[in-house]
Amino acid sequence: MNNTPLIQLRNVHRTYKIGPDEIHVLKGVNIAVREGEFVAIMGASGSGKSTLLHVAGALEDPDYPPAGTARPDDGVFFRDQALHRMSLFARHDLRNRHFGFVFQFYHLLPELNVLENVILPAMVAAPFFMAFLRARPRKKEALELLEAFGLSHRLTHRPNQLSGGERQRVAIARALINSPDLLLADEPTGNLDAKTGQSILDVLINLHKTRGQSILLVTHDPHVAALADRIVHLEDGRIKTP
Amino acid sequence: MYQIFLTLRYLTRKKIVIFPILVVWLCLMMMIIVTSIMGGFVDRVRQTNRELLGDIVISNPTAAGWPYYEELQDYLKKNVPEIEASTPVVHAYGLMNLPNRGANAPVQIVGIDPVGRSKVSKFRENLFQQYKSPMNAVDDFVSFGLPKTSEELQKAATDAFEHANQAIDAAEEPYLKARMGLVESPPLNAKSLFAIVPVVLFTGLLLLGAQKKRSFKLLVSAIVILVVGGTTITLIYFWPRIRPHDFRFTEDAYQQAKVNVDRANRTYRFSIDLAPHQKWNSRQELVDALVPRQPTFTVPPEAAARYDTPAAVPKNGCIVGVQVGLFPRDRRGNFDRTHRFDFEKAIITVVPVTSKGGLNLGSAQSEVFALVDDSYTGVYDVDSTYVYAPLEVVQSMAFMRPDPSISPDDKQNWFPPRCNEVLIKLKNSNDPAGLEALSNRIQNTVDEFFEKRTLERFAPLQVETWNQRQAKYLNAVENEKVMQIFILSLMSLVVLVVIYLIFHMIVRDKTRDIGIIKAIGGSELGICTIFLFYGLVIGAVGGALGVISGVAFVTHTNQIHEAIFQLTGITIWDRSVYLFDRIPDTYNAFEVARYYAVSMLAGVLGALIPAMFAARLDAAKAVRYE
Repeated sequence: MNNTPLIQLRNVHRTYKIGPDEIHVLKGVNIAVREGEFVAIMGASGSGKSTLLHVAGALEDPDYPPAGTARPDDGVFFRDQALHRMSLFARHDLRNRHFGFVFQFYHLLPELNVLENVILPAMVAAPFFMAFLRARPRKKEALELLEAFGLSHRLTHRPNQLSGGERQRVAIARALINSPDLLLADEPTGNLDAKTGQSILDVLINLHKTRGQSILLVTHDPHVAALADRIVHLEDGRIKTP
Repeated sequence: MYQIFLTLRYLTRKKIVIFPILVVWLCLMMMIIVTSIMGGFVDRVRQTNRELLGDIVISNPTAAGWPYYEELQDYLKKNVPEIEASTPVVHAYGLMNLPNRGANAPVQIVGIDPVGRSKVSKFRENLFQQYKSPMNAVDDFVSFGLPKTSEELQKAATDAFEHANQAIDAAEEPYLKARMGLVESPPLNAKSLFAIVPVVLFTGLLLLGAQKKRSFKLLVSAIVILVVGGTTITLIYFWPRIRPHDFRFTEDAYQQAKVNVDRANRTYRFSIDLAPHQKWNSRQELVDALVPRQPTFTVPPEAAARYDTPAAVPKNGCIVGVQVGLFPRDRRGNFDRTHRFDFEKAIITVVPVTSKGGLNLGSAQSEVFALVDDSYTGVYDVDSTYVYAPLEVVQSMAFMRPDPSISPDDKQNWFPPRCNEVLIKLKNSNDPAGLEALSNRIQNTVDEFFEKRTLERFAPLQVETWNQRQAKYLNAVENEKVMQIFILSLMSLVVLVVIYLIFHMIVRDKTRDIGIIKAIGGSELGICTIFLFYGLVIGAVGGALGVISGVAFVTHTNQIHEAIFQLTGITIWDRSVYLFDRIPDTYNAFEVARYYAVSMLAGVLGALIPAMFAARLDAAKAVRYE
């Protein structure tokens, strides 16, 4: 395991405004995930786990501290690069090439079949005029991934024709198609029965062990968290120190 | 690239997309049909007016006319080199009596020189016996087949000419109406329908299949079939019209044709010289060979022989407007020519107008004419009241020319002949601004000419372009077209609203997908592009369908009308009431292309706000829940 932090959250706050009320979800979170590390974030519902994952994955911006109160080393850092200093394009590129998301509810595009869902991030990554040239090798990679996940017989099926476990495996394949540095998994087994959930966890552990895949996993299930290299507890928007 | 991919997937797998396509389709079809038919009317009105009057008209506002027109014509020819031809016209009022039919009608007697009139207007082309009847034969001939080998060519030439001659023969038979009525509606073109129907059906089936099976390949196949089928149909339709025709007569075909042509020459005063193995490269060459170049008022010898005695043959012929009352016309616009056109007698009485403009009722002049032809301009006012007769005869009857026995030296009784109008044709009359400038120049030249002559008894002459002459009427028709387009454009805003609403629904429905696309790296611009491209494709597909169906409808309006009449007996377009006998069936390709571009723009504009809304959606919120 490499000691360089792949992603680092330093004193991250996140507040939501709902009507006149302000809900302070993340209250100065500090966390780092090193290259090749499997970190599980545990916490009860509403503790801010998903928000933390979205902030870490550049899907959501943390609060910008009031002028004059910000410290230069606060914020989210990817390989020591501050996300808030990156251009919009660089952040899209980060989500596309360096991060891979796996959601609790799979979130596959219902109009696309299995192969198309998996290949979509590769299409997003390809510049417009290169898309045709790059289509064939990316399709080959997608087929290999789907075969590895035991889905080669489901290539042309649409998401609504798949079981929950199959959908989640497709979602993982989609997250891996651009060989991301960090896999961000939000309750990946939360919507599955125990057996299917275990098979998904097996896939993740296998990825971590064989490919050295860095994973940041959010769960409220201690059995799932126990499989990680390190567990971080989140309670009421703060990291709970043991 | 992924934007196009996702757009195509949404197009094939979202049924709701059918509605905006349908709306764009119907709206564009409506625009094309209405503007083409209205535009067709305006163009026909303009064209017909121009064909009637030539480019420039010199006239004065009194019925008494004005003198020295021949000298004026010569003076203008010398001083305005842009003038190609000019011809005088006399208008008189009177009554036409047809003793053989027991009919009479008030008419306007128009004195013209038929050759001169044909040089400045389409007078010759409007004549049935002397031009249209043989032209139908030419059309039958030219439109016949597409021969390729020399044998086919020979056969086609023989058959076609035989066909043409059958048509000429038919002109003498009572069943003329059925065979070649002047404005007989063309039958429903089965070939065109059979060509279009399978392509549309097959494309529709494939599109349905693509929708049901979620198959991209089927969608591509449907598009390919639509494109290939459309191109093939276009070629089938247009190739015969654009390819050069080349008919050569073999010796046998020539002999056969010669017999028929000789007969045609006798009957219709053709003067065709058919050389053996003659080759006609174009329709015009054939027209030039078949159709007499100069119209005439004279009675042909064959027709004169039908009168009881040579003395009974009228000295002069006249040409009547087709709607004066010779032929009844049915609601479909066909003229019933079953009553044979037999160069019969017509007694015309003219009520002269004095030089001061009053009616000289006591000196009404009657003259016997032979009906030698009928003229059909398509303008009801003209066709229902005009009777053309030789200029000098009408002048004499209207007291606008002194008796030939009076010498010009007899200052007491002689007066210079008068006319009401001089019509002018210019060498190049396509530039409206130039036309107006030239009209002013001619006005100056006319004023200059009359400065040397005393004109105190005549109202001053006005020089007007054909456009100015009819300005009041043409502008009214033009304004009506503009108004209609404006109202239609307002109605078309509905398209924008429908596209906006449907896209709004789609974006709301696709909130989670938008979040997912953002999560895998899709940018705001990328998301926006998906929906804009989606709108563009809806505009393009709906627009293409609108263009195809609109143009097909417009170009087949008369056939569709005919089919409705055949099936239901209902006449929507009552030709006995309208100015023109055919519903305008041409379209302006540039205008259609502009509407198509606007339909695509409407697709993009309708989708713009929902697309911007989609781009700004909060991705994290969108993916948080199921």
